[in-house]
Amino acid sequence: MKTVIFSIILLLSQVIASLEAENLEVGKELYPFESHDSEVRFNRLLEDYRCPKCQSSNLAGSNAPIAMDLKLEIYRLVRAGKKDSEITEFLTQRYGDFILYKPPFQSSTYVLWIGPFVLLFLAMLLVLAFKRNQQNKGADRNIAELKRQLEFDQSNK
Amino acid sequence: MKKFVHIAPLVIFMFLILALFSFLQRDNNQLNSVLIDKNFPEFNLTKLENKNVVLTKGDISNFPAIVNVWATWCITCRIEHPFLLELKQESKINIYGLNYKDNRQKALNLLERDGNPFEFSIFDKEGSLAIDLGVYGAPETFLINADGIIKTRHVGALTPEVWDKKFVIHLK
Amino acid sequence: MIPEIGHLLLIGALTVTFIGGCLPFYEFVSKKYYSQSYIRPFSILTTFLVTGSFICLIYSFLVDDFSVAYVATNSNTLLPDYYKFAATWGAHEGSLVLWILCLSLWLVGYMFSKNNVNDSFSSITSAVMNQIIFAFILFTLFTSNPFERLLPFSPLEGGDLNPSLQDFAFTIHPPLLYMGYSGLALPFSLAIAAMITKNIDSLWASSSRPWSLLSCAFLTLGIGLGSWWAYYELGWGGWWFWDPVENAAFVPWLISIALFHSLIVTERRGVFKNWSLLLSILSFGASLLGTFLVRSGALTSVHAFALDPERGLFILGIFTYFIFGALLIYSLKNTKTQSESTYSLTSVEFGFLLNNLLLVVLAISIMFGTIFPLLYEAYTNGDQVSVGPPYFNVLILPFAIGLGFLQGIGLFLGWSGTKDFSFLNRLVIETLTVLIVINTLLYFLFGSFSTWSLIACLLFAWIVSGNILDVVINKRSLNKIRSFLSIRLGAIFAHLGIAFLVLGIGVVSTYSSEKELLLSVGESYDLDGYVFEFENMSVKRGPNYIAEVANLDIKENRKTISLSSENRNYLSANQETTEVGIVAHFFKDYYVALGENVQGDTWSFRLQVKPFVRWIWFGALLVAIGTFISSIKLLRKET
Repeated sequence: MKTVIFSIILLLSQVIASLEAENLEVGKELYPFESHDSEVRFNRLLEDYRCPKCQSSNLAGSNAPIAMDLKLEIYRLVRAGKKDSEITEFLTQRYGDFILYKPPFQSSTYVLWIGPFVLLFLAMLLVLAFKRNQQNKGADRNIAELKRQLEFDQSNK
Repeated sequence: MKKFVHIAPLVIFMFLILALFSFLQRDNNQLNSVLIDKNFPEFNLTKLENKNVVLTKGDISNFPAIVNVWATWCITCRIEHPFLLELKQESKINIYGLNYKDNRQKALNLLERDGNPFEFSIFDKEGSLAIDLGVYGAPETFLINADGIIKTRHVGALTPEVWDKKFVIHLK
Repeated sequence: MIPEIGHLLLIGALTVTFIGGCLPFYEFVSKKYYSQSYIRPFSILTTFLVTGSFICLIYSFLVDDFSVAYVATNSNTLLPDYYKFAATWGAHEGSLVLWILCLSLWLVGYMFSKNNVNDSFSSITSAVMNQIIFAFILFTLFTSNPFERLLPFSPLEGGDLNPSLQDFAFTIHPPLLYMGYSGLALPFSLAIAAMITKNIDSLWASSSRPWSLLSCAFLTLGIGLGSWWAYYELGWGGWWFWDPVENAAFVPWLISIALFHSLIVTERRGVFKNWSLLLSILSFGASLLGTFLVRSGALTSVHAFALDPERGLFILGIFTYFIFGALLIYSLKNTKTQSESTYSLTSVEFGFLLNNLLLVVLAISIMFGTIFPLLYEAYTNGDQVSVGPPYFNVLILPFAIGLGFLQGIGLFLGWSGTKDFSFLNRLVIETLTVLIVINTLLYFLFGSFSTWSLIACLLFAWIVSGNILDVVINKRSLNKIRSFLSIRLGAIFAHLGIAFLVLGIGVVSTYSSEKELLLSVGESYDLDGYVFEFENMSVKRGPNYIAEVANLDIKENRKTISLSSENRNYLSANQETTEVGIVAHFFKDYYVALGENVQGDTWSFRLQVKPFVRWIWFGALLVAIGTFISSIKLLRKET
């Protein structure tokens, strides 16, 4: 009797084990999110902040301990519903503007953000001014040429 | 007008050279702390030496003081450790430790073995206080002056030279 | 013994280039000409000396001569031979010898590209090149000598070549890149010669253009390889980071493109002389500036070289001497020409002008953004700021759109002006057609639309239509199409390359999937329809490393693909790197990076699917092919 029960248990456990093998377990996300939008926002934020310890890397691309800590912190803040500006504020209060890969838009950085377009605009103006100058010279030359032609014709009448 | 356009690149270039030359004179390889001229942040963590004692900002009270971020896994910290002991002996300044992302027992063993320059060490397992301080590695050392204001932060081993150059001036 | 020979050969080259750099100037100024046939033999001699020196360095690596300090720092007995060979240029000192070798090759190439080099124009060109080579050899010998010895106690074992550099792409990325950087010295020298000998004309422009194209081709390959290497080596799936070192190569690349376009106009119409001269100077200047930034320690970066302000000062001196000198000559010269042909706003000249403007302003802006943190810190007395991808990605977008627009219509505009605008109608229709096709494809593959990828698709469609589609549809006759292709083949390849590049960037930036997670052996994860299953862990022995290998299966629809990612421990320096597992397909890459062993048989992974990412480097390759074709065509015409 005991052997029968024992064999049944053994058999059952095999069956259960094989069933479990069929149902492959699913991996655990490191940063699970309820909403897809939050996850997208999180991933984007990780690319916008600089790893303070690395020579040149964002948080997304770094395995440095401080980067991992900050990733976790930002994860918590995103899950807590904090806005981008609040997370940026949190980080800059502790690490300064250095941690932002997108420099803030303020009077000391206007030249960076607006400079290229001002430069392009000024260059265009310069070019168009040159063109008009050149066209005028060209026109003057044509008039001078015509005048000469006229005088030549008249003197040869 | 044309002459100006031809000379402009040369002029701009000279400014560029001046700028590049000044870059070479830079001495700073550190991230500057933005906690300068601010108070020490709030925190709520256990004491390394006794996990039943909870420390807060109020416990960092004996000013002037230095707060040193250290860990058993930090090799450079071993190099600066003797100087911290020396500092404690000679200057009588309060040295608080911030044990950063470490194993409690290992940390206690190290202090037992190498000497303890700290009044006490804050056990910051997760590194939360470190983040609030803008710490990005170990060792780092903060100086808090007599008024309780953070005046300087040094990244890397604290040496006599660094002490003289960066820390002493704020102790007057 | 061999290192000493290498050293001596370099000193020999120093002497030859000194003479070669001074003599032609002396002759030109004093009008006393010696046996002028020396400049070609001199260039051959220089190349032999430098090559010999380089071979001595390679030899030292291959025989593990650790008495040479440079070999001891960068090599190791366990290092496979082909990496010992590549380690020659793996660090600062050796890479300079490579630079010098490249410069010599360009010089000797120029010498043999013409039948007759006995005129003052060619000899001044050669003189400037010689001076540049001289400056670099001087820099090497004085501050960065690779032949320095560790005697009498030389180590028995070396450090090691940085593991992430032990890789195929790494072995060819610097030589290609340096050929590009140094190649710009030739248009630079030609411009100086043109100004000094007062030969600023179509002849100068046509001789300069193939060299600008060829340099650009090498730069394209070098940058493309660097991007590809970063993708599979660094482990986070990115392929461009706007890192200072990347920008240091990107800026000269942009300016070189402006240069060879501007030279077309100077050659054909005799205008844009000032532009072409200035661009010749700026492109090499950007190359030198990049060298300065990377090697002086002024900027830190993922792979900046040995950081040393003393070296930085020396490079700054070289930079100042050549560029200040060139700009001085530029400001003093007179380009008053008799006949200035005029052109209207609808002309191809004006199109090229806009092209120049956009490229140069973009290049300056990128350079400015790169050094801005340093300027900011100096100006605000200590405040630090960072300028990274979020800034540069925003910056480049309007410029890319403007340049892309020009690329589409460029081949339709006429010299002096355009009369027939009927192409616009056709172009718009063709563009919309291609756009709809591409977008349908993307929707079919990825199931959604996106505004950003729409812009990329639009640019792609526009450029493809303007460069190949319209010709094929409109010309109808096979002969006409063939003749069109044969004239414009290089340009078509290059412009199509840009189109594919832009499309790849647009798609991979918007349609990628990624997830960081923990997996235990046997577990799987569904990432947007792709099921990644962690099969098992295994151990692998390499020539100089031991690796823990994670083997995964990816199931998509009915197909199963295997890939593996490994953590390598390099025995010599006990350094660890991760090798990413990538399976590349036409429309996407699967990308897996192994993380840490969290506990037991659970590991952290970073899983990604990157659509269209190969198209980026495919596009870059097309650009390189196109510029190569154009330059070779021009060079064959000359000889």
